[in-house]
Amino acid sequence: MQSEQDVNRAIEQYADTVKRICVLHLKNDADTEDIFQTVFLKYALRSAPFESPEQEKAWLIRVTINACKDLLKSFFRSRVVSLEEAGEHGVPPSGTSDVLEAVLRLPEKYRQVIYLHYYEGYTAPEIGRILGRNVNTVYTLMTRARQMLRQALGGEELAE
Amino acid sequence: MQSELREALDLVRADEALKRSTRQFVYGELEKRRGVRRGRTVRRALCAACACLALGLFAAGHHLYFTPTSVISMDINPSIELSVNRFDRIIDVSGYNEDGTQLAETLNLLHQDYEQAVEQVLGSETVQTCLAGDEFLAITVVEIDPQQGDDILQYIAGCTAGQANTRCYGVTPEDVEQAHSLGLSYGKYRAYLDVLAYTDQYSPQQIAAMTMRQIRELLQALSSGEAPSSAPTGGGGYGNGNGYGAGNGYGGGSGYGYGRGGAKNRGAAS
Repeated sequence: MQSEQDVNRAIEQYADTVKRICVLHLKNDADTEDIFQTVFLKYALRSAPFESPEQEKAWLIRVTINACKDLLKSFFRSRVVSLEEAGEHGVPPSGTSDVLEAVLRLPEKYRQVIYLHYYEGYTAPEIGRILGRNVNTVYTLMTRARQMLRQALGGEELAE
Repeated sequence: MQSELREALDLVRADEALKRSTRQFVYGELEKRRGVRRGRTVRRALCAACACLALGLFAAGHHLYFTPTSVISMDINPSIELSVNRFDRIIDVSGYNEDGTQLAETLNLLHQDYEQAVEQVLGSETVQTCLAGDEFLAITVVEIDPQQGDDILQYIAGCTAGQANTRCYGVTPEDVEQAHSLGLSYGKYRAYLDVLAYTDQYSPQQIAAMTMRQIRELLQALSSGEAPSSAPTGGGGYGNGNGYGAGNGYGGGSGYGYGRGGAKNRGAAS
């Protein structure tokens, strides 16, 4: 079990990362709060120490993505949509940039690789480890995601 | 475009309220789990203490129940010993010769009250047959607990008051502590000590092979000076002669035979 100081530090250090992943997957604040509680409680209850800050961050990203997926496919959510979400379904929050809007419109699997590669700076093998996917699959997903974004943004391409 | 994506995502930040509520939730959960763990630890400790107590009580109960506080040695021809615990229950039945072992096997005496057990032994066909055949029954109570031993002795004396060929004795454990190491029941060992007071020519094995009637008659003979104080020699031993007196007498290499039928006649051994 982690100490309260460790939990506090992790929240300060990784809350924004967790929030961004939530924005990529979820549509409402209540779900985001659930994910925060789930992720940082898991962090607090983890008994094994982290070998490095990089490992710690990768662990938190993986746990957050899995928590979002679990929430999305939960029995309740698969049948019920909140009013807030019903109004916004498939539409990114207003005021977001065109690029972010285009990313948010991508299917989930493409959103994840785009975020991890272009924002967090992970390589394909690293993304493969975080998402538990084959490296070649990650390459394929990145290529397709880029194509889809290029189409959405009228030929503009994300730099490598 | 990548920088645009980066700038857009940089703007996504967790607000302080979200961090605060997360912190409160996690700390609360940790506290609850610590409480549960403390409760579990206390519960485990209580369970362990209860288990130890139960084990201790069981061991103490077992010790109290299975520690003999008196032994009733009943010797006639069969020699049988009944160990009695502090709750007046029979906790062990041992035969000290072949007949005694057979008798112990035919009776179901374990965990019975000693009064019932004594009645069963006295009422058994084997003992009744022996008594009808004018055998002599010696009941010796080893009084490990003097009070209980005294009670048992009084009870048995009451039971056998009408029997002319029955005697009851009370002994201390120290009096008979060597009995079993010599292969004798407590009752026969007590009789052996009586014989030993007159002569040391009789071995425990010889005494073990004799019935109580034979030992009693030997003692009477020894006390009256009729019996020799030397052990039988040669090929003699204890035969089935017809009693004292009419035969060739003692000595000369002949043994002594204490017959069942004869009352006071000493016969030569075959």
